[in-house]
Amino acid sequence: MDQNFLNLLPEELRNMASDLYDVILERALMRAYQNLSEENKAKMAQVFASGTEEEKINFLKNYLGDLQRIIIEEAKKAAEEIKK
Amino acid sequence: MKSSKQKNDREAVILSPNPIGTKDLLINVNTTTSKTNMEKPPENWGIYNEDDSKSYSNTNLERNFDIENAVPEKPEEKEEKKEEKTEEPQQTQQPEKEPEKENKTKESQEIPEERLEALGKDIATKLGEDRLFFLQENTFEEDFLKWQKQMEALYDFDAFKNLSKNEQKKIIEILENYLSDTSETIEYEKKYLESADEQMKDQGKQGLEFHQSLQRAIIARLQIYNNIYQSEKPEEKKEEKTEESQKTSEQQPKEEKTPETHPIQPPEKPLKNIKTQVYNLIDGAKVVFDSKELDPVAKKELLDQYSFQLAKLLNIPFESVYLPELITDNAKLDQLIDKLSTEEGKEKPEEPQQTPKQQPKERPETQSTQPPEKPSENSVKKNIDESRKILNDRSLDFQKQVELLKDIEQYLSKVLNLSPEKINLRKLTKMTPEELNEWLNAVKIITKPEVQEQLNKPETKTLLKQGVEALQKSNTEKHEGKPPAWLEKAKETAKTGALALGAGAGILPIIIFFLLFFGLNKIAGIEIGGEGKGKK
Repeated sequence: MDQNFLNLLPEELRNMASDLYDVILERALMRAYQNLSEENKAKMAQVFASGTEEEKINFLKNYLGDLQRIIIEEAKKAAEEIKK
Repeated sequence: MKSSKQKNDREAVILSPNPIGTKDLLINVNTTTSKTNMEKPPENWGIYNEDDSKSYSNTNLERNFDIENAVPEKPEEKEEKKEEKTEEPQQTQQPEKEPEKENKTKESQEIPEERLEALGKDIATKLGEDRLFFLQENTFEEDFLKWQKQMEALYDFDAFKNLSKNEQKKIIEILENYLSDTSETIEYEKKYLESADEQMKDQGKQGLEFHQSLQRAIIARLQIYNNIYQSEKPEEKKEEKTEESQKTSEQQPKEEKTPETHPIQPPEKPLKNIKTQVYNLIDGAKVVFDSKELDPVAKKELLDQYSFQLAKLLNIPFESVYLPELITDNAKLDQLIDKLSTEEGKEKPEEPQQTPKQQPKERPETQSTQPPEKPSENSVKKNIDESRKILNDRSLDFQKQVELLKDIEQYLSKVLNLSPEKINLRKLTKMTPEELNEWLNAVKIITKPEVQEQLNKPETKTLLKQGVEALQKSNTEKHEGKPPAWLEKAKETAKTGALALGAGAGILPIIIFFLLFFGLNKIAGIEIGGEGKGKK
């Protein structure tokens, strides 16, 4: 999580914001994974198990291009979920 | 002379000192007529009254003085007139086509007094319009350049030159009457300007820059009028004028610091001009120098510009101008001026400031680099760039580096409304421009009072903690305690590989989460759309 951003928050909330992002990202990745074809699911598993950093980044770019949108949607869902 | 309506509509500008014979001259001009297509200037600008709540149309920059058609008109009629002028530019330039012929006929056929009165009023109004021009929220460099060009065009001011001498004299008298007829309301204006000055100081760079640009613009323009008039005026008339100027200056509330520079006497005019400009520059530099609010980078730039202008004006090397000394030590300044006096007539190979044609070029040179602006993102970015340079500058010792960075940190802290410990300059300098944009957006939202209030509430921490724990539990349940092997690594790549997710990927969701969680998704300027829409 971007340290410059975390610095903007009250100290006691910084760790929490970091954990929160972690949870949201996890949900988004899981959802994005579900949207992949079986072939690409296998590829993803393979790339993140043994691929290089570049391959991983490329995979995110090429196969999970809408991950950022999904993350934002998951952030909204998470906020609504907590409020309930 | 002035109705209460005029008083309300009046624009006031302070000049210090001005070239037409009075110091701290308060200009009153009614600008009601020029308010077409206006936008509201920023609320936090220092000099601003309700009548300014419409902006100055840029088309006014292309204005001409329509002497032939200049007749007294009611304010409400003038707006229509302006449109006509824009549509029919050829008409307005008619007097320029046959200057010789026109001149001859004009000597015998004087333009009716009422037309001259209208022209005088028009010029006075245009001085006020310059003020509106600088009041615009977004005075971009191209607008500024356009304005400069207009200034140069105005310098030739053929229409004016083609008038007979009597008519010129009349115009100048009318103009000066409008500009200096402030005795009735001088106290009112003084208070207004004092409070405006205070407010501008509070606004820091933005206010100061505006103030300085405005002063330079108006002073430059007055110099133009004055120089044209002086160059055309017969000797005996000039003496008469000097008396008038002195008379006017007696009406002014503030004491003249350099009274000897103002009475206009032709043989000494070039030196007086230089002196006046030296004082103008020193006055301007002092405001910048004394400012504690000013963005340090802009402050340095401004002072450099002042030094540069001064060096050019005095024909001395830039390095030999030490502004702090000249600002604080009157004796040094006097020495410099005395030196100028003794060197007068000796050598003047280059007198850019004295040649009427070049004056407007000189001033805008400074102005174009500092269009009035809010302590904007650009200013923040500029300071971060400067920090980067400081950090990379190996010629600076550590202590000096720390000092300079601290200055910038304090400035950023002020303009971003953040405590200094929340600004890590070293880290900010490592951000890509996109990341910096995201960070600035985040700052804008997080520093909003409503958001701050929620973030700092004692119960927020507890509620969030419970919420995050619930979400974690829910995640664990989804993959039944056995997360896929790729998940952690994918998370890691997504977090660190900013390129993969785009700048600010980690910032935006959290901000959106907070805003929704706090029920602040509709706070001013921020709107979170429905699912998938993201932040606007």
